[in-house]
Amino acid sequence: MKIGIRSWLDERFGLSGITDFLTKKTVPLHRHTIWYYTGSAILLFFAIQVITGFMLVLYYKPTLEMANESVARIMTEIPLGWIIRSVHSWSASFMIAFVFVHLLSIWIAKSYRRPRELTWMTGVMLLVVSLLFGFTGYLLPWDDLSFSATKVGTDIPRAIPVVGAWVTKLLRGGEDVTGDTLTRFFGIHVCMLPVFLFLLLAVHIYLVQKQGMSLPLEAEGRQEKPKEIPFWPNFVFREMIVWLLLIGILFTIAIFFPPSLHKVADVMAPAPEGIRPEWYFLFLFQTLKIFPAHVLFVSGETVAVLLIIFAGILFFFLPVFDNKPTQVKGKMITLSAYALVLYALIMSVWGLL
Amino acid sequence: MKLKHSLFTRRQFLNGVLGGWLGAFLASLVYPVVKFIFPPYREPDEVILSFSDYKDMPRNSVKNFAWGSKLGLVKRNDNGTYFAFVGVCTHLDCNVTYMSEQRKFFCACHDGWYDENGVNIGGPPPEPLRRLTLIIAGDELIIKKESPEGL
Amino acid sequence: MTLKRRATLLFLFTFLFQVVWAGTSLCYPQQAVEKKEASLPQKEETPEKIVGAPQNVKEKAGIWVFVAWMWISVFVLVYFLRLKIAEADRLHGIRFYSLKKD
Repeated sequence: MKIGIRSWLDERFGLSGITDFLTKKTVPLHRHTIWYYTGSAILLFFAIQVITGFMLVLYYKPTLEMANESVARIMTEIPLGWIIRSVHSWSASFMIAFVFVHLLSIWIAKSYRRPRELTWMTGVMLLVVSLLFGFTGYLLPWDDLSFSATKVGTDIPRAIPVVGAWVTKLLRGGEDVTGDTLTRFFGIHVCMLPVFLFLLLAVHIYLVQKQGMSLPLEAEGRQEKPKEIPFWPNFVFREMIVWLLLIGILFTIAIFFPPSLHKVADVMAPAPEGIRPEWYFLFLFQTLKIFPAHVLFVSGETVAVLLIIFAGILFFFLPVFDNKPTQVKGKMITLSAYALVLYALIMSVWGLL
Repeated sequence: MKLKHSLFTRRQFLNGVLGGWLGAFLASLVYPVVKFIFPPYREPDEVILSFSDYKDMPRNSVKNFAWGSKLGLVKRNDNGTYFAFVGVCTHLDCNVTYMSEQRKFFCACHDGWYDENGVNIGGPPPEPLRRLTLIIAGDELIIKKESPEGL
Repeated sequence: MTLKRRATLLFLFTFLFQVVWAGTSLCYPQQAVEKKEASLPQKEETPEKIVGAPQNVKEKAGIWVFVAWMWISVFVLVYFLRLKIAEADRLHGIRFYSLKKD
């Protein structure tokens, strides 16, 4: 019976090409194989975001008057709504955490070496999209904390010379954070970003399949190929174990540590205590804070923002810069990965104090 | 009773139990999803209105009130008594209106007619309008679901 | 009855058994919607903070049952997956997949 369905579909879709490829695809086994699991973990959390997002959007009302109230209704009236919201909130953090881990493992293993430069670049774009998901989603409950955090966050681009004010106006839908900002962020979060993410993901995953799994630097020089296992079923079953454990951890944390909802944002009220961005923005935010008000005759914030943008550009073109991976330059680039992690950790903890 | 041959191979057993348990686990995740998507709608058990709004209703007229999220109708009869109905047509859920001259309730969607007591007399409606129990308690007008014994 | 049919029946039996067991233990959270206003601790006009939480004792118990069921399932499934992985690795070792042509 099963074979009948498969051949029926194959006759129409030509699926046998894909299934043949999947059975032939192999995954190398070595000391660093564990990092291969991070990619599908990100996909798992993203799938959970889509499902819980579909559910939340059934009751969420993206207007100034109703946003906070609709989230409160989801948390108190709709059956098990608080769990769905909690899973959505925690899975976002998990997804971004795994994006960071995935990125660092690629950076340190230098998997972006030729011919995988585009995989890295689409990956950096995916990172930006993921962070934007987090940023736009954070405003949607429209409580005093998220409103103030968005005010700060959308004010930062203003420090960019020439285009800064324009970028801020684009993000806010005006001069200030208003109901228009909320509607805009909702449309971006629910409509535009998913489309961008799917397109980027399609390219990213296609490249990974086309070029196969990369090997760590030290394995490249060797004559004999490292031990390999078939992707299906050997590696996929291993991935399933990772998924099951991650789902267990996610749901347990989501059930016992659900997020709260603060009172509705008041445009006229002073900024509330304890305002800060989500954890994944803490280190950037703290970097901005440590700059003095003025550096020479330029505002400190402008210098900081420009430095961050410059670092971002270097980051995007990393495969191009790291063209001699085994030499000193290559080693410095690897060290800079550890340095960034240390910096981010210190800045994040500092930002929390 | 010892079987001559195994019912299934070890591989089939393993696949069966793995697939079965995985399916059940996923089904248990589907349960909260379904509960979320289909929240329970409860009609109110009773609605309390201020009688002063209805005291001076002319006879043979009808006034609206909110029965949960449905239309409720309070009708003052010729003899001064009050009836309460759920003002939703029993055919396909449209809201009905009262034509006081003809002494009939009318549903514009498919030309449904009910008499002054809510009994269906013309058009597609299969049943009379749903009656609600109406109690006047001092300054309050209490409207409740009709009890099975009838009031 | 063929072996395949017996395997299918075992699959269905295991699945249904688990569904029934899980269904009965998950009956608890059904009462979540009742009396939500009464269960909120501060009944002010605009509460400072709303915390997502189970609404009543039944739902609280149901949460624990679900978490227990979830972790038991995770460990059971991991156990079976490890058996499957061992089998798949063994097959790979004897070159079963490279010889498979259909």
